[in-house]
Amino acid sequence: MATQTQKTSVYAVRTTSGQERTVVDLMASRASTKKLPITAILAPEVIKGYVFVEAAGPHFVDEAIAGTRHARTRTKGVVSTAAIERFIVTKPVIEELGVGNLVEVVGGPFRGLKAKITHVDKVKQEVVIELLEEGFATLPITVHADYVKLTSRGEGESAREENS
Amino acid sequence: MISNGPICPNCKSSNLSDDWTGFVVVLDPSNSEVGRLMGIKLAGRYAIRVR
Repeated sequence: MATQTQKTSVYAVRTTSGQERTVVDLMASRASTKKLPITAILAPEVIKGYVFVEAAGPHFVDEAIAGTRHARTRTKGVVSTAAIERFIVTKPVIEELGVGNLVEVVGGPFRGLKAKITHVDKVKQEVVIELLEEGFATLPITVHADYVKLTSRGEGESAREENS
Repeated sequence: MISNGPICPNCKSSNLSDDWTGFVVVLDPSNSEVGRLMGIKLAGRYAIRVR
């Protein structure tokens, strides 16, 4: 016999910008206390001022946001699963990087500096970069792909990639 | 999974990171589409991306 699952939809709720995590925590505790059929609440980092609530119906979402600090209103309609999937199924950063791409270092001692990728190692999830800032010698630096952010594709789509 | 202590409540690992983005609370993983997409089987608080 197949297990019967409850039909749920995803609803968007406007919040005070910067308070998304607080709203998620408050709504989750309210849903648990009132035993509301809310199955998940998420706050993707890329969407400011909104949280997404997966629930059995819109009125349960309204009940959860009523009186919740920093939660404003539920937007009309439902959010498709495909739209939500874009936020929660994250592609590894390394997949987007190639030789010649211009990046910004987002962590470690070189944070905030611009650099160019000279080598990509997809297996180790590492890239070799050369800093483009003045005052830095063009020494190759190996960093984890998570510590660079793509700023421009640069000249090189024809990448010399190892282990690709 | 997001932990306030030194050990992950889900996998019991002590290899934790404080560099994470995106926040999800799964209350009912068996009925949640979000939980299914993320492969979550245990209710709790999770990060979407961990560095």
